[in-house]
Amino acid sequence: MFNSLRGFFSTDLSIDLGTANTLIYMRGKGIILDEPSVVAIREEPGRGGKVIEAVGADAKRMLGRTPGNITAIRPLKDGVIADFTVTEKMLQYFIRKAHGNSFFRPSPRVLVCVPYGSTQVERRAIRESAQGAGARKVYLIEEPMAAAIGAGMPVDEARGSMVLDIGGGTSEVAVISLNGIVYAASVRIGGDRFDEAIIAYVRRNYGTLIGEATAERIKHEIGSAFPGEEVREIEVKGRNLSEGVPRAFTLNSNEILEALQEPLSGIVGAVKTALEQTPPELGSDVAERGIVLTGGGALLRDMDRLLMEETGLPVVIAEDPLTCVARGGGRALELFDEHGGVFSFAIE
Amino acid sequence: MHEDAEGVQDSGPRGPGYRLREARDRRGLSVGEVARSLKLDAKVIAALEGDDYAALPAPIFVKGYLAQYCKLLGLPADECIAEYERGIGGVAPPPLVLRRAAGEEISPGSSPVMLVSWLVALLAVVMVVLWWVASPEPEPVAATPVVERPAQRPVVVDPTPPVPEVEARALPRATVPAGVPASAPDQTRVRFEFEADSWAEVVDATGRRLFFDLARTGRVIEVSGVAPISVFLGNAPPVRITVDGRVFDQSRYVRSGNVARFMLGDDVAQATRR
Repeated sequence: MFNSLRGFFSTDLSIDLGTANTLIYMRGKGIILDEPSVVAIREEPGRGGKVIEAVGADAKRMLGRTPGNITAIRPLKDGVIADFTVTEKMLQYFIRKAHGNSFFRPSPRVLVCVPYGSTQVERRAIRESAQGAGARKVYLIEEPMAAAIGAGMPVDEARGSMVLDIGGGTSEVAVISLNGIVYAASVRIGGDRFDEAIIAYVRRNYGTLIGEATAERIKHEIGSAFPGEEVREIEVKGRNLSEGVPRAFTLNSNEILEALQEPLSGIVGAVKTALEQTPPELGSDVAERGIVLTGGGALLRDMDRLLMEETGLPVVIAEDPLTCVARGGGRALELFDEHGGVFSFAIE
Repeated sequence: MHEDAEGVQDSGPRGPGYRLREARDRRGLSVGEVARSLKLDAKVIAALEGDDYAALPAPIFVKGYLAQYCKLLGLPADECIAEYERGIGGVAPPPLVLRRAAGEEISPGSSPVMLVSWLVALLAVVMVVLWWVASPEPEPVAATPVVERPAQRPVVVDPTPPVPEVEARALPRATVPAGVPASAPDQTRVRFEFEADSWAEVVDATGRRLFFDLARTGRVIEVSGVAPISVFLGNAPPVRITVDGRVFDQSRYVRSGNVARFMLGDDVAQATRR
C-alpha cells in the first residue's frame, strides 16, 4: 500500500546494467543516465566498515589511482553481478540520481536487461539487488531482445533478424522472429577483453605496463577491427618493466589490430556458429537483410567491415549503438502499460 | 536494373538515390561491383538508387546500407541519411506488436468456457442453499424431553448372550420398575426377542444409543427411550418386536438381505396397531 503510494511519485525505468556502463532510460524522457559501472569504496575502521566514496564517472576517474584505504571496483563482471552488495548500492545511487527527487524515496517499476546466457542464480542476484535498491517490481528482459527492439528492428515480423550486441563484458548474438528469440548465444568477450588484449600486447612487445584506462583510450582512438587505408598513431605513457620508470612510446593502428585478433576471432566465431545453427528459412532472411550491430563494440572502427568479410553478409550498425539496449527496454516497458500485463518480451 | 532506377527518378527526385548513382557513375563502378562490395543484392542497390523504399527492408537496414554505400563512394553519409528520412517522411521505429493480443488463448481460461464454468458453479451453490432451506427441521418433540429429564437413563437390560429366555425375562422385571414408571408418559418401551442371530442398533430421539451389538439366538432385550426410536436390524424377519406391550410388524420395512431400518414412535406404533 505504502509502496504503491511511493510508486505514484516514481517513473518506470529501464536499466541496462552493463559491465562497463550502466544506462537508465526513463519513460517519456529517454536516456537520463549513462555512467560507468564503477564504485569507489573507502575503508573507515572508525565507523566500523566501508562507506561509498563515489559512484559512476567520479569513481571511474579513481580507477587505478586510489590510495590504500579506497578501492575502486567494478561490481559486474562478464555481464553478471560479481559483488552483490556493491551492485545494490550502485543501483540505489543511480535510481535516486535518475529521479532527482529527494523528498520521496523512489520506488519505480524497473526493467533490467540480463545477458542471454545468464544462469538462474545470476538472474536472481540481479533481481534481488534491484529490489534492494528500492524497485517496487522488477522485470527482466534478455539483452539481445532489448537490443533488437532498441535498434528499431522489426522483431514482430515472421522474418529472421540477427542482432549482435557487443557489450563491455559479453557479446550476444541472436536470431529473432515473431517477438521471440530463435537462437541466441553469449560469449564472454567484450570491450573489456579488448582492453586486456591491448595491455597484454603492449607488455609483450614493448615491455611496458599500461593501465586499463590507457588501454581503453588506445582502443577508442586507434583501435580497429579490419586493416584500413590510413594508419593512425597514438602516443602513450606506461611503466617500462626493465627500467621501472614511466616511458612514452608510440603505437599504431595496425599493432592494435594485431593485438585484438584473439577476442575478435572469438566474436566472429560466435556469429558463424549462430549462422550455422539458425534454421535455413531464417538464415536466408538474415542473408537478405543483414546483421545488425549494437553495443559499444559496434563503435570499434571497421567492426562491420570485419564481419562482412568474414560472413559474406551485409552488416549494418544501429544508430546510437551504445544506448540500444536501454532504449529497447524502455520501449518494452511502454508496451507493458499499453497492454496491461501482457508481456511477451520480459519475464516477471 | 539501371533502367528501373531511371524510371523512378523521372517522377522527381525525392531521396539520395540520384546522388548515389551520379557518384557511382563518376567512379565508373557498376551496380554489380557495388553489390559485391557491400554484400548486398543488386536489386537492393537499384532500389536505393531509385529511392524505391517499398522494395527495401526496415529503415534501420536502409540507413545502414546508405551509410556503407556513401562510405564506399566518399559521399557524406549524414546528408544521404537525412535526405532518406525526409523522403520517407521521418523515421519512426517499427511498432511493437504483441501477437498474443490478437488471437484467443487456447486454454480453459478463454471467456466462453470460463463463463459456463462459473454458471455451473453458481447453479450448484444456489441448489445447495435451496436444499438447505427446504429440508424439514429436526422434530421439535425430540428436543424438549432432553432438556427436562437429562438425568433419566433408558434402561437397557442386556443379559449376557447365552442366557436362557426365562432368566432374561426375569431380569427386566427386577430392574425396570425402578426407573420406568417415573418416565412413563414420554418413554417408549420396546422389547426385542431374537429367534435368530441379528445385528441390532437402537437409538432414541435424543441420540442415545440404547443397544448396539450382535444379538444371539434366543436373546431378549428390553429398552426404553424417548420416542421416536430408530431401529436397525441386520436380520429383521426372525425378530419379534413389542412396543409398549403391542406387537409391531416390521415386515414392511424389510429390504433385500433381510435388512430393516425403521422408526418406533407413538404415531408409528399407533399406525401399526390400526
